[in-house]
Formats: sequence, C-alpha cells, structure tokens
Amino acid sequence: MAAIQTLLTGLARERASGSISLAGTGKAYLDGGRVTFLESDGTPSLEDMLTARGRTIDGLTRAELQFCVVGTVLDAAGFLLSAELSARPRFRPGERHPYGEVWAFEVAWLIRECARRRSELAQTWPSTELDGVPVTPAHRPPGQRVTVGELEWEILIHADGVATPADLAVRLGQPVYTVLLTVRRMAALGLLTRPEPASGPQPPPEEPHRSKKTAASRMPDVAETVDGADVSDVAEVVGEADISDVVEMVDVVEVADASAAGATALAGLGEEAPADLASRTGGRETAPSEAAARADAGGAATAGRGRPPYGELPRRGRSARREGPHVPRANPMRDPEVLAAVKQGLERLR
Amino acid sequence: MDIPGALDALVVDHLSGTVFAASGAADLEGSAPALRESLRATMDALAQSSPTGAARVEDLIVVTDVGYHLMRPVEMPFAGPLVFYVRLDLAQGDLTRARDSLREITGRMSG
Repeated sequence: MAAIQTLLTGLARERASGSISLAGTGKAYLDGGRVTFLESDGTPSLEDMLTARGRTIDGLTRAELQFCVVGTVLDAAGFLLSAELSARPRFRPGERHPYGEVWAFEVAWLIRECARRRSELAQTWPSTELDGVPVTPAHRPPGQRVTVGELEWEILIHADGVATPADLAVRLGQPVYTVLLTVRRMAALGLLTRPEPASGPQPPPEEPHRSKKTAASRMPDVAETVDGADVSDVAEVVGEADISDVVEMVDVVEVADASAAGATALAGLGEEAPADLASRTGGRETAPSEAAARADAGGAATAGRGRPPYGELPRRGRSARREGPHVPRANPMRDPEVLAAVKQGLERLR
Repeated sequence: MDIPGALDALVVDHLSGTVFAASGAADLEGSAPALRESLRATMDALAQSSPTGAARVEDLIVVTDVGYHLMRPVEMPFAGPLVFYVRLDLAQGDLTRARDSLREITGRMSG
C-alpha cells in the first residue's frame, strides 16, 4: 500500500476538502487541498500538551494558538507522512477540525519541514540508540560544571529510568520531536547514559517499526519514495465524494503542489500574529504557502534523499574526551629502595 | 513599515527550528539555524558568567559595523521560545524604536 505522504499529496493536488481517517495511524483534515490539522496516534494531542502544562485552549492568545497548532501538526506530520497505510483510509468530505481555521499547510511544505527535522536530529546526534529506550541521566556530569536549558532540566528531573523520550513528551506536555531533539543534544553533551552495547558484532540499524508502540519512539523516514502503489488501493471514499477526488496520487512526491499561493492563514485579526512582524517590514509570510513554492524546486531533492546512516557517522568528538584513570607518576625519592641506595651511597662518600 | 530601517525579519521556534515567517532581502530561512545557535550560545555564556548562574534573556542586541541585530525570545505554552529577529540598517535604523516596537508586538502575543 502507499505511504500516507503520497495520499496527502494526491489530495492536495485534487484540492480536497474534508477529513481522512488513517486506521491505526491518525487523521488528517484538508481544506481546498491544504492540510488544516493532523492527528497522530504516536504524538500527544494539542489538548493533552496544554493540560500537562496547566494551560487551556481558551486561555491562549491567537498567536499562541497558532504556535501550538503548528507545533502539534508538525509533530504529527513527522510520524504520519512516512507511515504506510495499514487499512483503507476513509474520506469524509467537508468535515472540519475545530482548530482547522488557525493555520493552513501546504503538503509540500510539511514534507520539506519534516525532512529538515530529520536531518537536524541526525546532525545533533547521529544515532537512534537513545530514541526508544528509557532516558537515563549520566551518573556523573561530563564536567565539573554544566549548563542546562529549561527543557533539559525538565527531562532530567522527570527521567525515572522507565520513561522513554515519547513517554516524557506526554508527561511534560511537549511535542515528541522537541523532546527527541533535546535528548539527542543531551547525549551529545554526555549528560545521558548510553545503553550497554550488545556483546558481539553490532547488529545493523533497525528499520523503522510501523507498530503503534514503537512509532512514537523514533522519527520515521519522511523521505521515502513510493513504488508500485495501486491507485485503487489508496482510498475508500465515504459519502458523496467522487473517487476521482483522491486518485492520481502515485509518483507525485517529487511534484510539490505550489499552485495555491497567497497567505490565508494569517488574516489580520485584532491580535498580533507571528507573521504580522514580517509584514511590517514589507515582507511576506513564509510558512506555509511561500515555502511551498521553494519546495517545488528544492523539496524534491530533499525528499529523495535516503535515510541517513545512523550509527555509522562519526560521533561528535566526544568519545575521546575521557582518558584512563589518572595514575600519578611515582616520585623516585619516595621509593624506599631508592632512598636506601642513596643513603648507602652518601655513607660511602663520608 | 513600522520599524524604520528594518532590512529583514524572521520568526523561528528556538527548540524545533521551524520558521514561522520571514521577510526581507536576505535568505533568512537559511540563516535560522545559525541565529538559533548564537542565541543558545549567548544564553549559555550568560548563565555561566552571571553571579546567579542563570540567565533569562529579554533582548539580544548585537551591533556590527554595518547594522543592528535584534533578537527577542518569547515564551510559548510548550516548546519555544518563539524567537523574533530583526536586522536594521546602521544609518537608517533606530534601535530604540525597533526595540519598543518589537516589545509591543510580542507583548500582545503571550497571555
């Protein structure tokens, strides 16, 4: 079956409006071919994150709501886009998400941003070894004095030897990606204990799991290309929509749909929105509509790049930091045998 | 243009690196990682050099031979902070006005 990324790209090209349920994975909402919301079974929901942080949606300013919606949708996109369809998706024309009016995402921009996030993870710490295991602080800090950021602190004090990065994300009310990136950075700094290497030859890096349990523990490959997907496999339409709304979605990964230009996401409402700052300086909104146009040129190359060889890249120069236990060089004048010999020599000289 | 002398502006999530908005002449989207890193390095250095060992940055201002760089991190409900960056022309820019303007905009954003 096809990857969800391919399905969404096809829906974008068809300018579909409605929701599409992806059994065992999540749900996507579109309006005129643009994604308005994504829900993933592998990442915490907007409400759950706010509740964990003692906030409510009603208490947010417009800019905060925009920020939270973008953060939630991108977190879900990191898991949804590359996942394979496990069952026929169900399309409900016209269905809207309660927060679907907040921001509109070009599918091509989502794909590009997920690829950027994956490469940032790999650059920060090119190993997936800590992504799915309990976060364990190092027994000793890497230096006499260390500086930690806010989220690093929260991760350290909530690490109970059981919770994985994905568990901590739920507990702390943070996107999984944010926690994963911070955990990788902490690993690079030597703040975390790395799992014991298996004895014998190292097994090759695992392929990303598709099961629900492990889905949240790693950022899957958003750059997968799709081969041999059968168009008729891809969607089952519920309700009045024509099947042609969701066809023609094979081989569309490298064709970013940039036709829908213009910034609708940030209509000038009473409160200030993040993009208003850009407009004040005579600028334009980048995310997501403008970015889609650039993805047309650059996104395909990014999307076609393979999975970085985790575990094979050199570590970031941390491994050689610790030397062996410090053995003080012996002072020969303290050695009783040397002292005795010196004493004998001195007595002969008398 | 409400901020006189402004050349570029960028809004980026400090933790995730997602660019929310960008404008102006330069390819600011491409420079977002470097800006995040300079903010992180500054915060770390200030935390280590301050008597309390901690730092909460309100504005980061750098004056170069050709212009002003103004960066303001704003706390968000999760992740974040959301960083607002403005680059100003040295001759035409008004740092005080730009700073007031930025503070006024971001003040209406956080609850």
